[in-house]
Amino acid sequence: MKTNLDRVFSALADPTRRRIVARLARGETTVMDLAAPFKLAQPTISKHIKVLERAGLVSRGRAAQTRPCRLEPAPLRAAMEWTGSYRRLWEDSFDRLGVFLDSNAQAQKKENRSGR
Amino acid sequence: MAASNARVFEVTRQLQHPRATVWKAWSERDRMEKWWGPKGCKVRALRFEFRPGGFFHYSMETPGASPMWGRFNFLEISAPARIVWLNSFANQDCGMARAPFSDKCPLEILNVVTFSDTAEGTTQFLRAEPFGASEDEMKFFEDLCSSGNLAQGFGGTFDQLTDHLNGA
Repeated sequence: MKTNLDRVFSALADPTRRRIVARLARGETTVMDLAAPFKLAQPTISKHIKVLERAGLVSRGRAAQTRPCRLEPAPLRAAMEWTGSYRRLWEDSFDRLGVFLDSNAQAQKKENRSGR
Repeated sequence: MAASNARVFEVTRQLQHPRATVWKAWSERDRMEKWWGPKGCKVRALRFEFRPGGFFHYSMETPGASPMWGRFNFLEISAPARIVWLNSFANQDCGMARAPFSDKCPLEILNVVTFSDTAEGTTQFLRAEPFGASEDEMKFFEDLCSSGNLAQGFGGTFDQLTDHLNGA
């Protein structure tokens, strides 16, 4: 079974789709505008957008005839959490452990000062 | 990257706190929840059995995304010096699961953390390596250990997007 994250990763594996995502990060736009900087036909761009839509990365407006494309940040954020290394997972955790221990020690000190 | 032993991952951290305090942070449910886990994920302990053979089963929640689960299977606990456990992704019921992002990620990682006293506090040393992994899985872990692996594959896109996401 393909999880949503699998779809996000395979959608982002393509450089054209990454460029589309990068463009949409600056704001929503139409398929025609998206196609302009690429030397690709509009149907090809539409195909790429469909892949991004299936991954939940892009949504399209219903109201306007042009149906502008919009970036959906949630699945992208989830994917980004997994692009770090095992090292980063532990470095980040150890950072938080340090902060947690520091704040605990401070609370302890305060408690001691107030004579408890 | 050192070619010598890329399949073993090691990280050391100096903490300005006594060993007993550091040990507590690893051995108590409420404390573990506060610091362990991927950045940006809220980790919730569903099971926390700090004994050999016991499980730490947790959910990892990111706003707007479906939750994921993971587990520690504790193998050895020697207070306050050493903890050995197998780490893997899990399903909702604490069963072992494949990584949500790849079929090639090793199912289980063997972790050993040791604590020793220093003049200023505690040295915490973690060593991790794939457990019972196939050749493909070993290679994947190697990539996972070299920092920024997947992000590199995606070029600068993620860097560009970080600001956007932070503002979103």
